[in-house]
Amino acid sequence: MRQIWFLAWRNLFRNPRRTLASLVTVAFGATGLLIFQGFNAGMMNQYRENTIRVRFGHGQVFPKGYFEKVFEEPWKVWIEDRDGVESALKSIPGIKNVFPRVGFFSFVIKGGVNLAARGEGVLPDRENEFFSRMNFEEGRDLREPGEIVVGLGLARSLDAKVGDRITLLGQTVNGQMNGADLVVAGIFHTGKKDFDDGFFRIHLDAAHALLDTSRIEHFALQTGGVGDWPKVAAAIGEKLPGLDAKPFEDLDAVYYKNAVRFLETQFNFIRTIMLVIVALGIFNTIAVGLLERAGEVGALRANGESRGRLFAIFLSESFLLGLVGGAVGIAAAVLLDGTLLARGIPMPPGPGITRQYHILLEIQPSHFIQSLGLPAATTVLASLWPIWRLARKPIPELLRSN
Amino acid sequence: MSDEGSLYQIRSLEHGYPWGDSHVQVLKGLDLAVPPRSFVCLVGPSGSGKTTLLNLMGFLDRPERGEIEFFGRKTGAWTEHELGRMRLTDVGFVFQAFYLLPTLTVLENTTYFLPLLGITGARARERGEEVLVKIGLKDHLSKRPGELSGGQRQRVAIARALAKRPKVILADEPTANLDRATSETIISVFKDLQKTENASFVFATHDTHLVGYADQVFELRDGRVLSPKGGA
Repeated sequence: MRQIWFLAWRNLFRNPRRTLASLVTVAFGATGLLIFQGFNAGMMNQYRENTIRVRFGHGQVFPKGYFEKVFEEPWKVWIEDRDGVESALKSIPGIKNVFPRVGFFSFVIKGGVNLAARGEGVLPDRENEFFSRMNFEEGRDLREPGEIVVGLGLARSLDAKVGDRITLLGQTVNGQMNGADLVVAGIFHTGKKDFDDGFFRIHLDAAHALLDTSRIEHFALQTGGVGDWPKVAAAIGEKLPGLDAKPFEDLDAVYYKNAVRFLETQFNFIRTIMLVIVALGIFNTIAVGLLERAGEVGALRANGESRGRLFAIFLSESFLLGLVGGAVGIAAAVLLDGTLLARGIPMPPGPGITRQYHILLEIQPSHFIQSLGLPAATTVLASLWPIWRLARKPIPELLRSN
Repeated sequence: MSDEGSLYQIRSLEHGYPWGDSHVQVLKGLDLAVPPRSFVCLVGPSGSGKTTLLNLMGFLDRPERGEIEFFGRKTGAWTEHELGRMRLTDVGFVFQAFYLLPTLTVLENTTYFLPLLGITGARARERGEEVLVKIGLKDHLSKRPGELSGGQRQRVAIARALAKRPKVILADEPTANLDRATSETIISVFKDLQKTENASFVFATHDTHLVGYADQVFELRDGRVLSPKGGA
């Protein structure tokens, strides 16, 4: 076996120009693969972080069945024992913070403009640090009960600026009309058009006063990380059977879940194309290189070399070529990531998104393994056919080849 | 009837190749006997069947008809594996184009087949060096074939075949690519090895100079041996 690897390694140097051509092809493939995987992971992770830190947290807890049903008077099923549920949630390992909220619809009025929008009552003291991706284009995040922050689209429709007064007009849980005068503290631009065009946030106390209730619609949760959610959800199910726990990807299924599936499918397709291009690129070089060695192979077989061992030598040679090419490609990708791509790749707004953003490459350990292993496996696969053809030729035919 | 005393006993050998839709018969009932430790030349015009006969004698191919006995053993029923094993242990092949591995040194080329015979490490190195000393290449052990002259390369090819200690060395036009002086050196190497190693040599050649050194010369014409002639 040692001799097989030794011969395979030495054979890489028999035609340096051809080896270099194959290496460059494999290296380009590995570089492309690693950058693409890093880009994809960066896009997914940044999208995920935005989804979590703009609105949903790592997940949310609702009254049982609340998420699936439509209620005529939803506040009747809202959580009454806020403190009890909050302390029960805080006692669950993995939960770092608990954010009580109420969601409601109301009219938003400024001057002669009157629009319907969806509001959310939150506790800014708790939320502002974690929900840090609201991207305030003007002003700042919410602080006081007399303040309101509105989405960019909504602010434009109302012609509202920071410091303007806005009136909310809504219905209490008892069916009476109620209103609140609030000062615009900030205008956020998350990039999600539907959210920015029809959403505002006010202090939880102000929302409770507007709705005339002290109940909580749901709790958003901050866990130790996305990976903690399954354990946290299981613990909530055990400890608080009257509540449902939903992860952020289910809460934002239309955007996040579908986008992830769409991008993953696209990524797998593009990755396959990249590997096919690598395979086609080196197939010809390998085939020509082997063909030129037909006479030499014939002489070796005439002197007792076995087909199987030759097959092993050539396959090992291709594997080493793929491995070295992969390593060179990975080094080039890391270099690019640290230099030209260090500031990320500027991206135009995607579907349903209204602002540009930069994708930072997030190269993970598994990407290195893939970028090394896949080109090596592709090189071996691309060389199988020419090697097999050469190894099965009769010796006299091999000797007549050169 | 087998001849225990013969290196090769060949009877009624027939062999050909497909040529488009037809079949070209190269050997047409050839008979030949080669004694051990002999220095034999196969001569004849191009297409007379020298290389085909050499290939069959080296077990690179199976004859269509006829029988080849090797040291009294009939080879017709041997499996591919057995033929391969025989090529490794009993036959050494040398070619006009040398076919050395360009990335290996002279010593590494010479010892290439020894691990397949179970000879590795210091033992392989020792044997390789011993052969290379005999063949006059002791000062070139770590050179690559690209750094050697044509004659030196042919000597490495001979050393590679010889390191296996085969019973017979078959060579197809071994001096065709060499100038007269180098050719002379190679022939003297063969003759020395015949004496010192008790090896047999069978050459397919056009080189009349090489033929002059042969113990026996077989002239092939139209796929048959015309007549065995005495050599040097």
